[in-house]
Amino acid sequence: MLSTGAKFAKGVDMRVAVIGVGLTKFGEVWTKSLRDIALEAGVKAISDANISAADIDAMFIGNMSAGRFSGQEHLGALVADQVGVSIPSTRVEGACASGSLALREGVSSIMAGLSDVVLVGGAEKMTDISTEYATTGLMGAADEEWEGFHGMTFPGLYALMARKHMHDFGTTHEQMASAAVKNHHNATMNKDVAQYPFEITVDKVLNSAMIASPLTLLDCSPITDGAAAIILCREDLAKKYCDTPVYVTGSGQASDTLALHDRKSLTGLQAAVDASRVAYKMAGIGVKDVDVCEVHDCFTIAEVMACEDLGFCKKGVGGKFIEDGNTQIGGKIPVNTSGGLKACGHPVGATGIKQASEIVLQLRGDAGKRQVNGAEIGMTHNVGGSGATCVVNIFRR
Amino acid sequence: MLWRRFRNKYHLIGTYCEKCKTGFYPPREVCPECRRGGKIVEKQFSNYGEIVTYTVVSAPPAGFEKGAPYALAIVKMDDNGPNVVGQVVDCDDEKLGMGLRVETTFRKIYEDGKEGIVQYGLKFMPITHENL
Repeated sequence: MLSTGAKFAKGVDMRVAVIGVGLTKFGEVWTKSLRDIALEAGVKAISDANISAADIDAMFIGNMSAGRFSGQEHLGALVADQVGVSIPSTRVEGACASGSLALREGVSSIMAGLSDVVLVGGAEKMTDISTEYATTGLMGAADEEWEGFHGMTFPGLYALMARKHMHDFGTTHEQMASAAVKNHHNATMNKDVAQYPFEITVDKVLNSAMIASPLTLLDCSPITDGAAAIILCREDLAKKYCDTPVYVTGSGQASDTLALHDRKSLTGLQAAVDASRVAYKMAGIGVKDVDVCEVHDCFTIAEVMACEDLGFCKKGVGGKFIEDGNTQIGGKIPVNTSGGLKACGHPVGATGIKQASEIVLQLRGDAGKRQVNGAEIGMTHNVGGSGATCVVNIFRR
Repeated sequence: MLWRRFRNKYHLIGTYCEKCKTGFYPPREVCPECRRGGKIVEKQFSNYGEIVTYTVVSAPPAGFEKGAPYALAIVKMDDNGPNVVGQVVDCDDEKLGMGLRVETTFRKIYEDGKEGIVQYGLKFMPITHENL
């Protein structure tokens, strides 16, 4: 495969700031439609940034499958309509990484000089259809012709990786479960947003209903309604709107084969390795400089592999690394302080923006009980499909 | 539109780059390593292989409810063949495992929509006798 990003070896001066964030409550939000939650997140972000809609030059909306989940396409126009503006508004799609892709598009637009202030959002309404149809819809993020055809599911794909990781490195189900236990604990400190803000135990994970062996129900992130939005602006304008801007300092994106069985490795995501290396280079930092990180724990094994792919620990020891408490708040590198996809919820198109929002709150010192003391540099790791798209964004106070 | 892939799906026919000797299934028209310098030809792969990793799916997608739970595996095909994904059938739970030798078998995969068009393709089953 041809790789990308070598050109950023000397670092890039990004000059983009985040001046506002807005999140809806994640969960089964039966009383609200897709447009309701998208508008709610947008308005919250605009208020948080202390700007008016008239200040915004463009919008990028991350959404995976509104056509399938809600029968609604044309999300860019939908959001512009709801917000009541006539500026350029574009939907961006990269499966579960759609949110982070929207953020990258916002950054690109500002760096290209096309916009000064950009709203980037993500929204997904997933509970209006049955679990079977949601499962089928989500498989659109994998290879429909060669995986979905055989009855493959997303838990199934990650189960194939989990089984191989356990076989090759001796990773245990208890170790994987410890990621879910930690994320549920973090969610108890994020009650305003998190879908499942309650404690669970390793035993509960191991003994919950089997979904795709060895993964049980509590190894899996849920089906969620939710939206998130952030306001980006030119670095030199940031202080005009906001006393505590956070800066985007690095962004990497990489692709891999759509189908899992086509990959060289089944125990890690090469796109995550590639994207993170680009992002580190652009930001001019190393992995040791990262103080807090939101990773894409769509399944417990995904958080294990993320810790390895991002370089928090060596290949193969991710399970033990998490079980030993290194990723708890107060640990070596706190991971998923929001509760992650597992406990905060995973409205697929919104997830990347929710991750960015959590990092912004941490870097501002606004994360309340789950605050990582003195956090200066934060990172998001957002995966589309079984790893065919990966985006890593780095932020600095 | 799966009829476009019947030849590949029924016979495990993919493509092969003669320059770097890599097999592709599903078929690729461009070799990711050799790019335009590669020489892609059609290739029938071995119908025998070994399970690389597997899972048993209990929460199926729409259309697969009747068959659940069912086993799915990634199988490395013999003679330096590609990895192929498919269901594993006619296999006891205790037998299913990493390294199990399997062969392809032509089966019904699912029924399509309300019209009930039956989709066929390859699944895997434990090798009953090694074809020497």
